[in-house]
Amino acid sequence: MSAANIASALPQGAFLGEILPTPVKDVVSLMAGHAPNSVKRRSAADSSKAVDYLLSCWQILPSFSDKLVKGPIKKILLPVDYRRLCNARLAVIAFQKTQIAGCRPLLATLEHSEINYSLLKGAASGCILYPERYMRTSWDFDLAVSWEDLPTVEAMALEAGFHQAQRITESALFCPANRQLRDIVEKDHYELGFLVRRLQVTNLSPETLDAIRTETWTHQFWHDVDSVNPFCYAAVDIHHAMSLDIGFGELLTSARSVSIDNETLRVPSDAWFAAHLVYKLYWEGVHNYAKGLYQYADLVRLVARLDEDTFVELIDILEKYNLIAAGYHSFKHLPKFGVELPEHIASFISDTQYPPEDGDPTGLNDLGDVWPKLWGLR
Amino acid sequence: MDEDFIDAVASAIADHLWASNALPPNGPQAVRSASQPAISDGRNSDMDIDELSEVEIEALAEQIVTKLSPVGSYEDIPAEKIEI
Repeated sequence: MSAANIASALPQGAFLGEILPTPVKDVVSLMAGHAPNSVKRRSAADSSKAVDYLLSCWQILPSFSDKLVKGPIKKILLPVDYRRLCNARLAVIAFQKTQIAGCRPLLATLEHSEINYSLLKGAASGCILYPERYMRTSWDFDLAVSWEDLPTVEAMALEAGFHQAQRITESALFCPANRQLRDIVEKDHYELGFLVRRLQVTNLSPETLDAIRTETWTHQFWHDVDSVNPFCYAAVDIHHAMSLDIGFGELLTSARSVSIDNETLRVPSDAWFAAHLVYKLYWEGVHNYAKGLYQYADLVRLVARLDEDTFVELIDILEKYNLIAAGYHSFKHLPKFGVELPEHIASFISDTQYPPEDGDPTGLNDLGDVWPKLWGLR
Repeated sequence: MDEDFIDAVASAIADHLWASNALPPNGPQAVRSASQPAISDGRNSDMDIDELSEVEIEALAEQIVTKLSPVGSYEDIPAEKIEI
């Protein structure tokens, strides 16, 4: 859904401060994993708007439990919108399970190598913040490795069945990459171009097949949908830095192992995971309209892991990279999701609401509030 | 047309494409707009896109698009069967 469409879905004059319009309130509750306060059938307009918002946050659709979907969500939505949401959720769950299966051989190779790596972003949050790994989806599996290890890890990915690829214009399909284009791009960027596997899933359930055949929205993930075995892509994105000026050295040093689904995987420390999340949520959020709202679902779940010591580590990282304003603007909205902030986080928000004396917004990387922009407003 | 200039403009277009996950746009207009960052970065000091004629820009566009054009179709990435 475009920024303009999301914004136009809001009632005129809607104030996205403390008083939230009904569809926004519903989405905010569901993102946090809760039923909305009022479980009454919504108006047609509010029902449709809520599902539009939720589809724009498709990355967290699998996090909705069956109980939540078949109970409160079914009650508040009109049947047509409920079907739309259920179809999308089924398609995205199957997509993420395919990603996990498709990336498993590479991750196993990495795990048995001497290379220090870490999952990043959605791939990491699925392991540490949600009851099941598939409950947090993303377009690709993001990995961090050192610059020196990039060629080795890319070779491992190719050995594990991935292909160097690039998107075909205005489609969700990939074709083999033009090596010259990749060379040009990778010279000035901090990640490799796409590495993908094209995977035909042979055991999609009848419900999932029906969902991806009837719901055109799902065709951004699933292709050849009328065939016996539709396909989607598993993609890995290998990064050697968080941005052009934030390296991954410390993140990789702090990475730890977690065991999940009989696999051992490496994820960032909670402090570095939080720093990366704050950076992405805020920096991408203020530079775009309607981009990245879903990341609040991660932040909501992360708060319980941010004890006082971890939070001090996080603040040290944010200070080092001039991201205190990003932290302030990200954490201050958590109460809207029903999160009760621990004292140390509440104090941080209280203390950082005042910029330092003589500070200027540009120098402080303070591009203002991210909340309205996440919803497609100025 | 000098190769460094083509590289600079191609690099600027690649930056733009990277941001949008898209393949190269065609045409002189895309070249004209995408070349600005390359020129302002000082990557090419002796040539200015605005001094080029439409014919020259067309030629440049063709060279860059050829240089960056995709190879093959989605079927060139083989499908693998998998269970989830």
